Amino acid sequence: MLGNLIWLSLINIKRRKLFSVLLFIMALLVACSLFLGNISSKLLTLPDITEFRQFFYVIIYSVLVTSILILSAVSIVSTGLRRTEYSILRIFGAQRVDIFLLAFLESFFLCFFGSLFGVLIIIILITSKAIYIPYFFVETPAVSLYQLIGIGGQAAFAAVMVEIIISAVLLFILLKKDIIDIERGSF
Amino acid sequence: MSIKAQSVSKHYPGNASPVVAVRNVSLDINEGSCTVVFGPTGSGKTTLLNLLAGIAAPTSGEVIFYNLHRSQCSDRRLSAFRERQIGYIPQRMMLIGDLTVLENILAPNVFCSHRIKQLKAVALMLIERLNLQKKAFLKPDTLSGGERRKVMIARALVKRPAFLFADEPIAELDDHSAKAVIKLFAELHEKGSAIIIASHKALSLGRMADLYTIGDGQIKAYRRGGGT
Repeated sequence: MLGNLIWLSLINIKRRKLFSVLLFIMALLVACSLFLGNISSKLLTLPDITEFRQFFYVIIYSVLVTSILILSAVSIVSTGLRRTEYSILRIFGAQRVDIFLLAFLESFFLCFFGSLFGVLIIIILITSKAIYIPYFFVETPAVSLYQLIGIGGQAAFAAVMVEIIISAVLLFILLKKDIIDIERGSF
Repeated sequence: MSIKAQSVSKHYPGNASPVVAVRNVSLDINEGSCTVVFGPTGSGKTTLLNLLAGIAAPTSGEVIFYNLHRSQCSDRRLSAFRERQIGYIPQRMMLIGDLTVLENILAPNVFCSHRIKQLKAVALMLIERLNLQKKAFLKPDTLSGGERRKVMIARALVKRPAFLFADEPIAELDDHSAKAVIKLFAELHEKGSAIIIASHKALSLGRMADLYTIGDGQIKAYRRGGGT
Protein backbone atom coordinates (compact mmCIF):
# COMPACT_ATOMS: atom_id res chain seq x y z
CA MET A 1 0.00 0.00 0.00
CA LEU A 2 2.91 2.36 0.69
CA GLY A 3 3.89 2.17 -2.99
CA ASN A 4 0.34 3.18 -3.99
CA LEU A 5 0.41 6.08 -1.51
CA ILE A 6 3.76 7.31 -2.82
CA TRP A 7 2.29 7.16 -6.36
CA LEU A 8 -0.75 9.20 -5.29
CA SER A 9 1.32 11.78 -3.38
CA LEU A 10 3.62 12.33 -6.39
CA ILE A 11 0.58 12.65 -8.70
CA ASN A 12 -0.95 15.21 -6.32
CA ILE A 13 2.30 17.22 -6.25
CA LYS A 14 2.50 17.09 -10.05
CA ARG A 15 -1.11 18.16 -10.64
CA ARG A 16 -1.21 20.95 -8.04
CA LYS A 17 1.68 22.93 -9.44
CA LEU A 18 0.80 26.29 -7.86
CA PHE A 19 0.51 24.97 -4.29
CA SER A 20 3.50 22.70 -4.76
CA VAL A 21 5.71 25.58 -5.89
CA LEU A 22 4.42 27.80 -3.05
CA LEU A 23 5.12 25.15 -0.41
CA PHE A 24 8.55 24.47 -1.92
CA ILE A 25 9.50 28.19 -1.79
CA MET A 26 8.12 28.67 1.73
CA ALA A 27 10.02 25.62 3.01
CA LEU A 28 13.12 27.02 1.33
CA LEU A 29 12.69 30.38 3.09
CA VAL A 30 11.98 28.78 6.48
CA ALA A 31 15.09 26.61 6.15
CA CYS A 32 17.28 29.53 4.99
CA SER A 33 16.22 31.79 7.86
CA LEU A 34 16.55 29.01 10.44
CA PHE A 35 19.97 28.15 9.05
CA LEU A 36 21.23 31.73 9.19
CA GLY A 37 19.71 32.12 12.66
CA ASN A 38 21.49 28.99 13.84
CA ILE A 39 24.78 30.11 12.35
CA SER A 40 24.46 33.40 14.22
CA SER A 41 23.63 31.82 17.56
CA LYS A 42 26.01 28.86 17.44
CA LEU A 43 29.03 30.05 15.54
CA LEU A 44 29.27 33.79 16.08
CA THR A 45 30.55 34.28 19.59
CA LEU A 46 32.61 37.43 19.37
CA PRO A 47 31.74 39.79 22.22
CA ASP A 48 32.28 43.04 20.32
CA ILE A 49 29.61 42.48 17.70
CA THR A 50 26.55 42.09 19.93
CA GLU A 51 24.68 44.97 18.38
CA PHE A 52 25.38 43.78 14.87
CA ARG A 53 24.25 40.30 15.84
CA GLN A 54 21.00 41.60 17.31
CA PHE A 55 20.29 43.44 14.06
CA PHE A 56 21.05 40.24 12.16
CA TYR A 57 18.66 38.27 14.44
CA VAL A 58 15.83 40.74 13.87
CA ILE A 59 16.14 40.39 10.10
CA ILE A 60 16.47 36.60 10.15
CA TYR A 61 13.64 35.91 12.59
CA SER A 62 11.32 38.37 10.84
CA VAL A 63 11.81 36.35 7.64
CA LEU A 64 11.29 33.14 9.62
CA VAL A 65 8.02 34.24 11.24
CA THR A 66 6.70 35.66 7.95
CA SER A 67 7.60 32.47 6.09
CA ILE A 68 5.87 30.28 8.70
CA LEU A 69 2.75 32.48 8.55
CA ILE A 70 2.64 32.29 4.73
CA LEU A 71 3.32 28.53 4.88
CA SER A 72 0.37 28.17 7.30
CA ALA A 73 -1.88 30.26 5.03
CA VAL A 74 -0.94 28.18 1.97
CA SER A 75 -1.61 24.97 3.93
CA ILE A 76 -5.01 26.22 5.17
CA VAL A 77 -6.14 27.21 1.66
CA SER A 78 -4.77 24.00 0.13
CA THR A 79 -6.43 21.76 2.76
CA GLY A 80 -9.70 23.68 2.43
CA LEU A 81 -9.74 23.25 -1.33
CA ARG A 82 -9.15 19.52 -0.93
CA ARG A 83 -12.16 18.81 1.30
CA THR A 84 -14.03 17.01 -1.51
CA GLU A 85 -10.98 14.88 -2.22
CA TYR A 86 -10.62 13.85 1.42
CA SER A 87 -14.34 13.11 1.56
CA ILE A 88 -14.07 10.83 -1.51
CA LEU A 89 -11.04 9.05 -0.06
CA ARG A 90 -12.89 8.45 3.23
CA ILE A 91 -16.00 7.13 1.42
CA PHE A 92 -13.84 4.59 -0.42
CA GLY A 93 -12.32 3.31 2.78
CA ALA A 94 -9.30 5.48 3.56
CA GLN A 95 -8.71 5.62 7.29
CA ARG A 96 -7.82 8.91 8.95
CA VAL A 97 -4.27 7.67 9.39
CA ASP A 98 -4.05 6.94 5.63
CA ILE A 99 -4.91 10.55 4.83
CA PHE A 100 -2.41 11.79 7.44
CA LEU A 101 0.20 9.57 5.79
CA LEU A 102 -0.67 10.90 2.33
CA ALA A 103 -0.38 14.51 3.55
CA PHE A 104 2.86 13.62 5.36
CA LEU A 105 4.38 12.19 2.16
CA GLU A 106 3.36 15.23 0.09
CA SER A 107 4.71 17.67 2.71
CA PHE A 108 7.86 15.62 3.13
CA PHE A 109 8.68 15.48 -0.59
CA LEU A 110 8.05 19.20 -1.12
CA CYS A 111 9.52 20.57 2.10
CA PHE A 112 12.49 18.21 2.28
CA PHE A 113 13.70 19.14 -1.17
CA GLY A 114 12.73 22.82 -0.69
CA SER A 115 14.63 23.14 2.59
CA LEU A 116 17.58 21.10 1.32
CA PHE A 117 17.80 23.37 -1.70
CA GLY A 118 17.66 26.46 0.54
CA VAL A 119 20.41 25.18 2.87
CA LEU A 120 22.63 24.24 -0.08
CA ILE A 121 22.25 27.71 -1.55
CA ILE A 122 23.34 29.32 1.74
CA ILE A 123 26.30 26.93 2.13
CA ILE A 124 27.43 27.63 -1.43
CA LEU A 125 27.05 31.39 -0.93
CA ILE A 126 29.04 31.31 2.34
CA THR A 127 31.83 29.03 1.14
CA SER A 128 32.20 30.95 -2.10
CA LYS A 129 32.21 34.13 0.04
CA ALA A 130 29.39 35.58 -2.05
CA ILE A 131 27.70 36.27 1.29
CA TYR A 132 30.37 38.28 3.04
CA ILE A 133 30.05 38.04 6.76
CA PRO A 134 33.19 39.88 7.84
CA TYR A 135 33.52 38.31 11.25
CA PHE A 136 32.53 34.84 10.21
CA PHE A 137 35.82 33.16 9.40
CA VAL A 138 38.11 35.62 11.17
CA GLU A 139 37.99 34.59 14.82
CA THR A 140 36.50 31.16 14.36
CA PRO A 141 38.81 29.34 11.99
CA ALA A 142 37.56 25.99 13.26
CA VAL A 143 34.25 26.50 11.51
CA SER A 144 34.24 23.87 8.83
CA LEU A 145 32.00 22.78 6.02
CA TYR A 146 30.93 19.81 8.16
CA GLN A 147 29.63 22.16 10.84
CA LEU A 148 27.73 24.14 8.24
CA ILE A 149 26.19 20.94 6.84
CA GLY A 150 25.26 19.79 10.37
CA ILE A 151 23.54 23.05 11.21
CA GLY A 152 21.94 23.12 7.75
CA GLY A 153 20.57 19.61 8.29
CA GLN A 154 18.99 20.72 11.55
CA ALA A 155 17.39 23.71 9.79
CA ALA A 156 16.04 21.52 6.97
CA PHE A 157 14.63 19.03 9.47
CA ALA A 158 12.97 21.86 11.43
CA ALA A 159 11.42 23.31 8.24
CA VAL A 160 9.97 19.91 7.27
CA MET A 161 8.62 19.43 10.80
CA VAL A 162 6.98 22.88 10.78
CA GLU A 163 5.00 22.05 7.61
CA ILE A 164 4.14 18.52 8.82
CA ILE A 165 2.84 19.87 12.14
CA ILE A 166 0.74 22.55 10.37
CA SER A 167 -0.76 19.92 7.98
CA ALA A 168 -1.40 17.47 10.82
CA VAL A 169 -3.27 20.07 12.90
CA LEU A 170 -5.43 21.13 9.93
CA LEU A 171 -6.25 17.53 8.99
CA PHE A 172 -7.00 16.62 12.60
CA ILE A 173 -9.61 19.41 12.75
CA LEU A 174 -11.08 18.45 9.35
CA LEU A 175 -11.13 14.67 9.64
CA LYS A 176 -12.75 14.44 13.05
CA LYS A 177 -16.00 15.40 11.27
CA ASP A 178 -18.45 12.81 9.97
CA ILE A 179 -17.60 11.81 6.39
CA ILE A 180 -20.54 13.57 4.76
CA ASP A 181 -19.72 16.75 6.71
CA ILE A 182 -16.08 16.92 5.64
CA GLU A 183 -16.75 18.93 2.49
CA ARG A 184 -19.42 21.14 4.05
CA GLY A 185 -18.63 24.56 5.50
CA SER A 186 -15.20 25.53 6.67
CA PHE A 187 -12.92 24.25 9.40
CA MET B 1 -22.65 -11.62 4.28
CA SER B 2 -25.31 -8.94 4.69
CA ILE B 3 -25.98 -5.37 5.74
CA LYS B 4 -28.90 -4.89 8.13
CA ALA B 5 -30.62 -1.69 9.16
CA GLN B 6 -32.59 -2.01 12.39
CA SER B 7 -35.04 0.82 13.13
CA VAL B 8 -32.62 3.46 11.87
CA SER B 9 -33.45 7.14 11.92
CA LYS B 10 -31.36 10.07 10.78
CA HIS B 11 -31.95 13.68 11.77
CA TYR B 12 -30.14 16.72 10.44
CA PRO B 13 -29.96 19.96 12.42
CA GLY B 14 -32.54 22.49 11.18
CA ASN B 15 -33.21 26.14 11.94
CA ALA B 16 -36.15 25.59 14.31
CA SER B 17 -36.28 21.82 14.77
CA PRO B 18 -34.26 18.87 13.43
CA VAL B 19 -35.07 17.70 9.91
CA VAL B 20 -35.94 14.00 9.88
CA ALA B 21 -34.46 12.47 6.71
CA VAL B 22 -35.00 8.77 7.56
CA ARG B 23 -37.51 7.55 10.12
CA ASN B 24 -37.45 4.13 11.76
CA VAL B 25 -36.39 2.11 8.69
CA SER B 26 -35.53 -1.59 8.87
CA LEU B 27 -34.25 -3.57 5.91
CA ASP B 28 -31.74 -6.27 4.96
CA ILE B 29 -29.33 -6.26 2.04
CA ASN B 30 -28.02 -9.75 1.37
CA GLU B 31 -24.94 -10.67 -0.61
CA GLY B 32 -25.81 -11.16 -4.26
CA SER B 33 -29.17 -9.41 -4.00
CA CYS B 34 -30.48 -6.60 -6.14
CA THR B 35 -32.39 -3.81 -4.41
CA VAL B 36 -34.02 -0.67 -5.72
CA VAL B 37 -34.95 2.15 -3.36
CA PHE B 38 -37.61 4.09 -5.22
CA GLY B 39 -39.17 7.37 -4.20
CA PRO B 40 -39.67 11.02 -5.07
CA THR B 41 -37.00 13.70 -4.65
CA GLY B 42 -36.39 14.53 -0.99
CA SER B 43 -37.86 11.29 0.31
CA GLY B 44 -34.65 10.20 2.08
CA LYS B 45 -33.14 7.80 -0.49
CA THR B 46 -29.65 9.32 -0.41
CA THR B 47 -29.55 9.43 3.39
CA LEU B 48 -30.68 5.80 3.55
CA LEU B 49 -27.93 4.78 1.11
CA ASN B 50 -25.35 6.75 3.13
CA LEU B 51 -26.46 4.93 6.28
CA LEU B 52 -26.32 1.51 4.62
CA ALA B 53 -22.93 2.21 3.05
CA GLY B 54 -21.45 3.19 6.43
CA ILE B 55 -20.80 6.77 5.33
CA ALA B 56 -23.21 8.44 7.77
CA ALA B 57 -23.98 7.44 11.35
CA PRO B 58 -27.65 6.96 12.30
CA THR B 59 -29.17 9.23 14.96
CA SER B 60 -30.93 6.21 16.43
CA GLY B 61 -31.16 2.52 15.55
CA GLU B 62 -28.38 0.22 14.43
CA VAL B 63 -26.72 -0.71 11.14
CA ILE B 64 -24.97 -4.09 11.14
CA PHE B 65 -22.31 -4.74 8.49
CA TYR B 66 -21.89 -8.51 8.38
CA ASN B 67 -20.98 -8.87 12.06
CA LEU B 68 -19.88 -5.31 12.78
CA HIS B 69 -22.29 -3.14 14.74
CA ARG B 70 -21.96 0.46 13.53
CA SER B 71 -22.38 1.96 16.99
CA GLN B 72 -19.71 -0.25 18.52
CA CYS B 73 -17.03 -0.67 15.88
CA SER B 74 -14.07 1.66 15.49
CA ASP B 75 -13.56 4.00 12.57
CA ARG B 76 -10.58 1.85 11.54
CA ARG B 77 -12.66 -1.34 11.23
CA LEU B 78 -15.52 0.44 9.51
CA SER B 79 -13.13 2.06 7.01
CA ALA B 80 -11.54 -1.33 6.34
CA PHE B 81 -15.01 -2.79 5.67
CA ARG B 82 -15.84 0.04 3.26
CA GLU B 83 -12.49 -0.35 1.55
CA ARG B 84 -12.93 -4.09 0.96
CA GLN B 85 -16.67 -4.44 0.43
CA ILE B 86 -18.34 -1.17 -0.59
CA GLY B 87 -18.53 0.66 -3.91
CA TYR B 88 -20.38 3.97 -3.92
CA ILE B 89 -21.69 6.16 -6.73
CA PRO B 90 -22.81 9.47 -5.21
CA GLN B 91 -25.69 11.51 -6.59
CA ARG B 92 -23.67 14.73 -6.54
CA MET B 93 -20.67 15.19 -8.81
CA MET B 94 -17.80 14.23 -6.55
CA LEU B 95 -14.59 14.17 -8.56
CA ILE B 96 -11.11 15.50 -7.84
CA GLY B 97 -10.75 18.52 -10.12
CA ASP B 98 -6.95 18.49 -10.33
CA LEU B 99 -6.63 14.86 -11.42
CA THR B 100 -7.31 13.30 -14.82
CA VAL B 101 -10.15 10.83 -15.46
CA LEU B 102 -7.85 7.82 -15.06
CA GLU B 103 -6.30 9.24 -11.89
CA ASN B 104 -9.77 10.02 -10.50
CA ILE B 105 -10.74 6.38 -10.98
CA LEU B 106 -7.53 5.13 -9.34
CA ALA B 107 -6.95 7.65 -6.53
CA PRO B 108 -9.64 6.53 -4.02
CA ASN B 109 -8.82 2.88 -4.66
CA VAL B 110 -5.13 2.99 -3.74
CA PHE B 111 -5.66 2.22 -0.03
CA CYS B 112 -5.68 -1.52 -0.63
CA SER B 113 -3.31 -4.39 -1.20
CA HIS B 114 -3.78 -4.31 -4.99
CA ARG B 115 -0.87 -2.89 -6.92
CA ILE B 116 -1.47 0.27 -8.91
CA LYS B 117 -0.60 -1.63 -12.11
CA GLN B 118 -3.43 -4.13 -11.52
CA LEU B 119 -5.92 -1.36 -10.69
CA LYS B 120 -4.84 0.56 -13.80
CA ALA B 121 -5.56 -2.43 -16.06
CA VAL B 122 -9.10 -2.77 -14.67
CA ALA B 123 -9.65 1.01 -14.84
CA LEU B 124 -8.61 1.12 -18.50
CA MET B 125 -10.97 -1.76 -19.30
CA LEU B 126 -13.85 0.11 -17.60
CA ILE B 127 -12.94 3.32 -19.42
CA GLU B 128 -13.21 1.43 -22.70
CA ARG B 129 -16.53 -0.20 -21.75
CA LEU B 130 -17.97 3.21 -20.86
CA ASN B 131 -16.61 4.79 -24.05
CA LEU B 132 -14.34 7.27 -22.25
CA GLN B 133 -11.08 6.35 -24.05
CA LYS B 134 -10.62 9.81 -25.56
CA LYS B 135 -11.18 11.46 -22.19
CA ALA B 136 -8.93 9.27 -20.04
CA PHE B 137 -6.20 11.89 -19.69
CA LEU B 138 -8.44 14.96 -19.44
CA LYS B 139 -9.55 16.71 -16.27
CA PRO B 140 -13.19 16.51 -15.11
CA ASP B 141 -13.96 20.16 -15.90
CA THR B 142 -13.68 19.37 -19.61
CA LEU B 143 -16.29 16.58 -19.40
CA SER B 144 -20.06 16.69 -19.77
CA GLY B 145 -22.37 15.80 -16.86
CA GLY B 146 -22.98 12.32 -18.26
CA GLU B 147 -19.27 11.65 -18.75
CA ARG B 148 -18.52 12.71 -15.18
CA ARG B 149 -21.24 10.34 -13.99
CA LYS B 150 -19.57 7.52 -15.97
CA VAL B 151 -16.21 8.32 -14.32
CA MET B 152 -17.85 7.97 -10.89
CA ILE B 153 -19.38 4.65 -11.99
CA ALA B 154 -16.00 3.33 -13.20
CA ARG B 155 -14.40 4.48 -9.93
CA ALA B 156 -16.91 2.48 -7.88
CA LEU B 157 -16.49 -0.68 -9.98
CA VAL B 158 -12.67 -0.92 -10.07
CA LYS B 159 -12.37 -3.16 -7.01
CA ARG B 160 -15.47 -5.27 -7.82
CA PRO B 161 -17.17 -4.47 -4.50
CA ALA B 162 -19.40 -6.97 -2.71
CA PHE B 163 -21.99 -4.19 -2.22
CA LEU B 164 -22.45 -1.50 -4.85
CA PHE B 165 -24.49 1.54 -3.77
CA ALA B 166 -25.60 3.65 -6.72
CA ASP B 167 -27.48 6.89 -6.09
CA GLU B 168 -29.35 7.93 -9.27
CA PRO B 169 -26.65 6.25 -11.41
CA ILE B 170 -28.21 6.90 -14.81
CA ALA B 171 -29.72 10.30 -14.08
CA GLU B 172 -27.74 12.21 -16.71
CA LEU B 173 -26.99 9.43 -19.17
CA ASP B 174 -28.35 8.90 -22.68
CA ASP B 175 -30.10 5.61 -23.44
CA HIS B 176 -27.02 3.97 -24.98
CA SER B 177 -24.78 4.86 -22.01
CA ALA B 178 -27.52 3.89 -19.52
CA LYS B 179 -27.75 0.44 -21.14
CA ALA B 180 -23.94 0.04 -20.94
CA VAL B 181 -24.04 0.94 -17.25
CA ILE B 182 -26.95 -1.42 -16.48
CA LYS B 183 -25.03 -4.17 -18.32
CA LEU B 184 -21.95 -3.54 -16.15
CA PHE B 185 -24.14 -3.69 -13.02
CA ALA B 186 -25.72 -6.95 -14.24
CA GLU B 187 -22.27 -8.49 -14.83
CA LEU B 188 -21.17 -7.47 -11.32
CA HIS B 189 -24.41 -8.92 -9.94
CA GLU B 190 -23.84 -12.23 -11.77
CA LYS B 191 -20.44 -12.47 -10.04
CA GLY B 192 -22.19 -12.35 -6.67
CA SER B 193 -22.19 -8.68 -5.72
CA ALA B 194 -25.22 -6.96 -4.24
CA ILE B 195 -26.47 -3.92 -6.13
CA ILE B 196 -28.44 -1.23 -4.30
CA ILE B 197 -29.85 1.51 -6.52
CA ALA B 198 -31.67 4.65 -5.39
CA SER B 199 -33.80 6.22 -8.08
CA HIS B 200 -36.75 8.53 -8.49
CA LYS B 201 -37.47 7.01 -11.91
CA ALA B 202 -38.67 3.47 -12.58
CA LEU B 203 -35.67 1.46 -13.79
CA SER B 204 -35.88 -1.31 -16.38
CA LEU B 205 -34.72 -4.01 -14.00
CA GLY B 206 -37.87 -6.06 -14.48
CA ARG B 207 -39.09 -7.96 -11.46
CA MET B 208 -35.68 -9.29 -10.45
CA ALA B 209 -34.99 -6.60 -7.84
CA ASP B 210 -36.35 -6.15 -4.34
CA LEU B 211 -38.22 -2.87 -4.49
CA TYR B 212 -38.56 -0.54 -1.53
CA THR B 213 -40.80 2.46 -2.08
CA ILE B 214 -39.84 5.27 0.26
CA GLY B 215 -41.63 8.50 1.12
CA ASP B 216 -41.11 11.05 3.91
CA GLY B 217 -38.18 9.00 5.16
CA GLN B 218 -40.26 5.86 5.72
CA ILE B 219 -40.72 2.64 3.77
CA LYS B 220 -44.19 2.85 2.26
CA ALA B 221 -44.18 -0.39 0.29
CA TYR B 222 -41.99 -3.45 -0.31
CA ARG B 223 -42.07 -5.89 -3.16
CA ARG B 224 -39.82 -8.94 -3.09
CA GLY B 225 -37.90 -9.55 -6.32
CA GLY B 226 -38.12 -12.76 -8.31
CA GLY B 227 -34.35 -13.34 -8.32
CA THR B 228 -32.13 -13.41 -11.36
